[in-house]
Amino acid sequence: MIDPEVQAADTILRREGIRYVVVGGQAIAQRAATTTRDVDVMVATSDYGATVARLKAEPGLAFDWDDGKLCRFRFLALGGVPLDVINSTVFSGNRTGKEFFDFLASEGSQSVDGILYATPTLVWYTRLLTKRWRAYAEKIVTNVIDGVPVHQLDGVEEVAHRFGTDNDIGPRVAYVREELRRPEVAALLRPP
Amino acid sequence: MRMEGSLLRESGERPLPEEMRSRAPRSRGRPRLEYRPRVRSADDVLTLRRHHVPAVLITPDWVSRHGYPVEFRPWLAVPAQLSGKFSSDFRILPVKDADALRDPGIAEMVTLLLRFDPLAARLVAVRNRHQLDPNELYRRVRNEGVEAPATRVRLQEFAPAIPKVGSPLSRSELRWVEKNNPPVAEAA
Repeated sequence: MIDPEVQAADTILRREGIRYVVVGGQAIAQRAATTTRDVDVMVATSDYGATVARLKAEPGLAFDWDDGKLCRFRFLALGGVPLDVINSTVFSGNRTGKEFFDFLASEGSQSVDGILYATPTLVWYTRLLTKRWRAYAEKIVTNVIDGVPVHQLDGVEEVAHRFGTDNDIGPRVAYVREELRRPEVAALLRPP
Repeated sequence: MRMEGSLLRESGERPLPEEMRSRAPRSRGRPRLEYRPRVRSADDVLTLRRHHVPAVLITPDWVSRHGYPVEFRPWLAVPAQLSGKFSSDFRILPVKDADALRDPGIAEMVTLLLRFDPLAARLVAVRNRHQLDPNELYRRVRNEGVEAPATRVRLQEFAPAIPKVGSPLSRSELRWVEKNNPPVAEAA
């Protein structure tokens, strides 16, 4: 069953012919608990400007702000739940935004009911590359406690290697691993 | 070596309902027939509590009602020394401080949440700060040994006596988490 917020985003983006992948909490929600109602979608860098322009003309959305990397809209019919459009260039390291988006769409996501959702590996990668990575590290630990396989962290390092973001990602993944080794967390990860 | 406890029926006390009793595998040389409470529903947990077993089912509904809308698979919180004695489809959360499970309030909920979702613990504390007893929170955090996650989410703001262990998340990160997780009324 598609979440109503994701369904609303899909209806608009599909109508506008925009290629996108659901990232963030709604993607994690495919595998683990989440608090999220807002929808984060990533688009290719080359599509970012056009996407923002088209969505500004959408009657069902209210434009909030745009900094060139992320643009926030709100669903009017859903009480103002945010729809964040994310420029893939933010996460592409030493390669192009298009290359990152193509990788995300072809190898880093899975289709559920016709909608592409990023895998936990890709969600964690994007989250650990933000300036709020420590808060996201807490969420990653919670995701693992909640059943997302910890080996997805290995994938994060592989993605970082591929896009040349190892220097940022490496220590952050190490931080998450350290948190997962804490006795009170490790005790919850052992099979019963 | 590990310590284990047992659930023993008091004299004159009625046994648990038959459907909640599963026979434990009998080890060689162990004379007594041992049963493990089988917990499959919230009602089973209530039955346990009526039999004075300190067990609490931590549900998303319970947490959401306290201002943090969240979805997760419920946890059955039980005293650590009894955690191997239950048979349940719920995930078991072994709790050191069994007393915290007797009549859990906000301080206890915050402390239990620190075990598996420190950001949720922070938000429940923020949104119920007027009901949060600093002394009780301090005591529960210390008893459970969760000073490190408490520090990461700055619970010293609510109970200053909690020892600082490790480094906290920045205030701006915590404000951002609060802003991005509106309480139930706003989220609905």
